[in-house]
Amino acid sequence: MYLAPKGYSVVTDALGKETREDTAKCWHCQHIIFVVAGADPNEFFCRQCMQPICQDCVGKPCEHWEARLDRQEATDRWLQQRFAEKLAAASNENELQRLNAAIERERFLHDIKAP
Amino acid sequence: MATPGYTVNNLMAGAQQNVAVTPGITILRLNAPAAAFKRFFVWELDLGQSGPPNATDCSVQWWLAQCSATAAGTGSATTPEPTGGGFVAAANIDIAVTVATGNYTAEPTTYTAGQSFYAKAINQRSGAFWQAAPGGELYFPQLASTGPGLRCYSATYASTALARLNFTEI
Repeated sequence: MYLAPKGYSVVTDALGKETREDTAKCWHCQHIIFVVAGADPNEFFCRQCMQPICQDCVGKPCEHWEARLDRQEATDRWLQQRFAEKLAAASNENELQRLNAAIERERFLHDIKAP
Repeated sequence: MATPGYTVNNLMAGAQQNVAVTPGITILRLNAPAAAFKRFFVWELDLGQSGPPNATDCSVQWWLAQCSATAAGTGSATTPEPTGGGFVAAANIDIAVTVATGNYTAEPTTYTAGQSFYAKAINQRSGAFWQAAPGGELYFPQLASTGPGLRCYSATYASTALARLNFTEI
């Protein structure tokens, strides 16, 4: 299967020599993959979403990045609703910071529980 | 032609900070505002060292990773400029809602190493550039607290760095 590159990278050294590389994007975690010339393009490939993935995502369940964005945003809406009254009642900056830290803790706990 | 969007670099506000040893310093960070937020995607990175090179030849590591605002750190608020040709120096009306912050003097502490999007080690005399092809952009959620932070560190190089991020809101 031919995979079109999804970007390119250029590193220019002090002498002006350019090192150019094609890049791909992991569709599960959005990590930029630097394509190695001659490497098997099917080596890291998800057979469920039919997209390239990075080495770290091999063997993990298929979760498309966009689905992850949707989940993160849904978690955020749920947290904002849950803390809405407390946030509205916060009387000073310290209290607001404390509540925001509590929201972040909840988000972290929710994220690590999610598949 | 560039994608219509916004460009931001760390010369646009604040004073450049010296690169430090790991975990390094945050050069630029993007995140959605508290209200009226939008998803956004990053489609270009341009980065390099802008100070005098160290006498000992060395490398500088750059990475773009997810950063949360639990301890947001201290940086300079920066106003991104539009790239789509609509920029007017005075009374610009094409204004990004995404919050850009640069030249951190106190680091945001909650980087998620597991969500690192770009990682590159380059020589102190080198510069790096990455541009996404259509479909290869890096997308970020419309969360007030979370967004990508561009960080660099070096064991030896101890002068300033310069980075530019181009992004588009959707």
